[in-house]
Amino acid sequence: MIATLHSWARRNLFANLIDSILSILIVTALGWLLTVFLRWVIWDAYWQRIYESLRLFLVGQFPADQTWRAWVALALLCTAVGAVLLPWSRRLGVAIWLIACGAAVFVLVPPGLDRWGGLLLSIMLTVVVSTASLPLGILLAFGRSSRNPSLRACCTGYIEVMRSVPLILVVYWIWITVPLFMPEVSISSLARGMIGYTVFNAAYVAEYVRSGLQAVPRGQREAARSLGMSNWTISTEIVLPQALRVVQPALVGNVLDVFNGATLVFIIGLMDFLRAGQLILVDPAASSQTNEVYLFMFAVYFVIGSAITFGSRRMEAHMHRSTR
Amino acid sequence: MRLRSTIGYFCTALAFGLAAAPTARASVLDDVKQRGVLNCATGDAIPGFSYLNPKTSKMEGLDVDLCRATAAAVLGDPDKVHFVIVTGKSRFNTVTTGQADVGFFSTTVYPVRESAIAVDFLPINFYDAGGFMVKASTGVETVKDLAGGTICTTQGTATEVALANLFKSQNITDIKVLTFDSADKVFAALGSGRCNAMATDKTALASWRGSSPKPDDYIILREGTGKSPFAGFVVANDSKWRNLLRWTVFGLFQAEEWGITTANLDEMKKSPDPVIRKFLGVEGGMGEDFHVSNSFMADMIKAVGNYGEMYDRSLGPKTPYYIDRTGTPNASWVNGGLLYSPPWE
Repeated sequence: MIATLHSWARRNLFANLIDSILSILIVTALGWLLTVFLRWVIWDAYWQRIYESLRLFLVGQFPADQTWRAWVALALLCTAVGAVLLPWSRRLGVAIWLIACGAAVFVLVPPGLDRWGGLLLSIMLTVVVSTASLPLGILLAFGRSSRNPSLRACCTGYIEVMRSVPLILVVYWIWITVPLFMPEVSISSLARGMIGYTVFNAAYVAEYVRSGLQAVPRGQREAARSLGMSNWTISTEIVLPQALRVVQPALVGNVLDVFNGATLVFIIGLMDFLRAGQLILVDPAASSQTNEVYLFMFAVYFVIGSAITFGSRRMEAHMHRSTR
Repeated sequence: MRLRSTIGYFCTALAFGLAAAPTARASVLDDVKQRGVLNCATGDAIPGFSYLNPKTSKMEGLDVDLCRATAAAVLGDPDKVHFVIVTGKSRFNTVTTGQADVGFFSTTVYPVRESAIAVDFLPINFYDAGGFMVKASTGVETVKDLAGGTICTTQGTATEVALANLFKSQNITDIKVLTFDSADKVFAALGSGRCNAMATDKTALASWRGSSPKPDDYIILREGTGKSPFAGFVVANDSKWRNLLRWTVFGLFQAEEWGITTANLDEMKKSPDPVIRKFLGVEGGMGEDFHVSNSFMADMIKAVGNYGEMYDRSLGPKTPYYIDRTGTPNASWVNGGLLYSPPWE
């Protein structure tokens, strides 16, 4: 073991004089930075501030006696993620995903959508938006590559408009206009935020799916037609499954974009994970703990972001295995 | 084909037109009573006024209490309130589109807000202004005492402009102004002696002072710059709703003037003064004319107390954001302040 390590170091770190000098400098610098950082994390940082605000960070104003709902939802979401990651039937995976996510939303709704906050809000927003924008995006992608000119123009126009305006504008616009169109129905800010974000994200999903549709060889369609299949059957049974398989990693990558973009819903007064941290910092008593709060948020974002990237890589690996 | 798509476009346009057609609305008061919950627009990041306390996950502050007071007066229960969290950008839209029935959000009364934006303001419930904080040990009492010194403030704020105007109007030339990009740096510079005074809103000064390890080391000068009166706001042209809420705020001032508190409410109900008896709805009452219960003032005081009690809970001496009321516009008019209710007889 030591010998292997030794020969590895010789080969990679100390191959020649310049390499050796560089290695020593870099390793020393990194070591020093790490020591300074760890010393601060262990001795100087005031983690009490995070600990006492943990509830706000995780669930916002979710009623304390209903916390079990958040745990149940978390378990359901883990089930959903597991179902789509495991290499069994894709249809079954998607079905479990839909049922589990739907159940998670159902469990969380009773205390009121406006009580959602913190990480709970960020995650549920990501789940709902990325799930809901998939069917919408698929429809738009088919619309854009349709032969009906008015349908094609509408879908192309929609996608291009959504892709050329910022997310924050779409969310704010939906938030203002929905109550103007429907003054009798009261829809909570969060629901409107979800609608706005879905409407926006669907355009991006549509472009991913369209690239997948174009990747399906022409011969597939023609062969299906010569077998006498209807247009509907060709699209849903032949083209779409192949297209989705190609763009699956990109779509999972889009989930990461949705999660990171979810912070922008602060504009309509929702309290997501990032805003919860800022809220803690507006209290002058906490202003000296800026580093602790931001480091904690960085760590949480990093862990969740890495998990999503990992999921996307795993899916890619499955895909390569199945097309080999 | 062409005809079909023309019809299609026509129907789409019609659907949009119908959806956009304005619908007649009754008074907000009727909506609130029917709904049984008051939607109150407020913030969550202004300690002392509207703040979601990270330790308790509860809303607190003067504006939050005003929401609760309104709910108590209109619906008889301070907990029948739903806080609609707004930002500086969305607060007026929230009220004009009916997503909130009233807004209390440290909002300064400006003419343009009533002329160009469709809101009406309620009575002013707090007077803020720009102010100066100095170290107590320096013995500075007025801005003039700062001659030869340095005043520090944050960049690009209204305070910076107000300072320039103050110096011009009072012909002060021997005070330097130093700006920093954030308030915590300004406060640190004051502590280290690099600045002789810190200038920003008085409420912000109070919370910086309150959260410092030794608040008594600092004093906030009585002098101020500019005016920033805060008031609640409702949708324009709804007198029924606005008048009720106007008198609700006045009622808080009046209760303080008469010394009616949550604790002595039941005693005060036995008062021989017919005006107080009417005010509390013991004999007759004024609620009926406002289309609410005659005991609306009693319900409100029972729930949140009078203005002074509300103030003490959020900005009083026991809070980290203590702002002394005595001798400021925020005192009741009987104590020389500006909080004044028209007579209730």
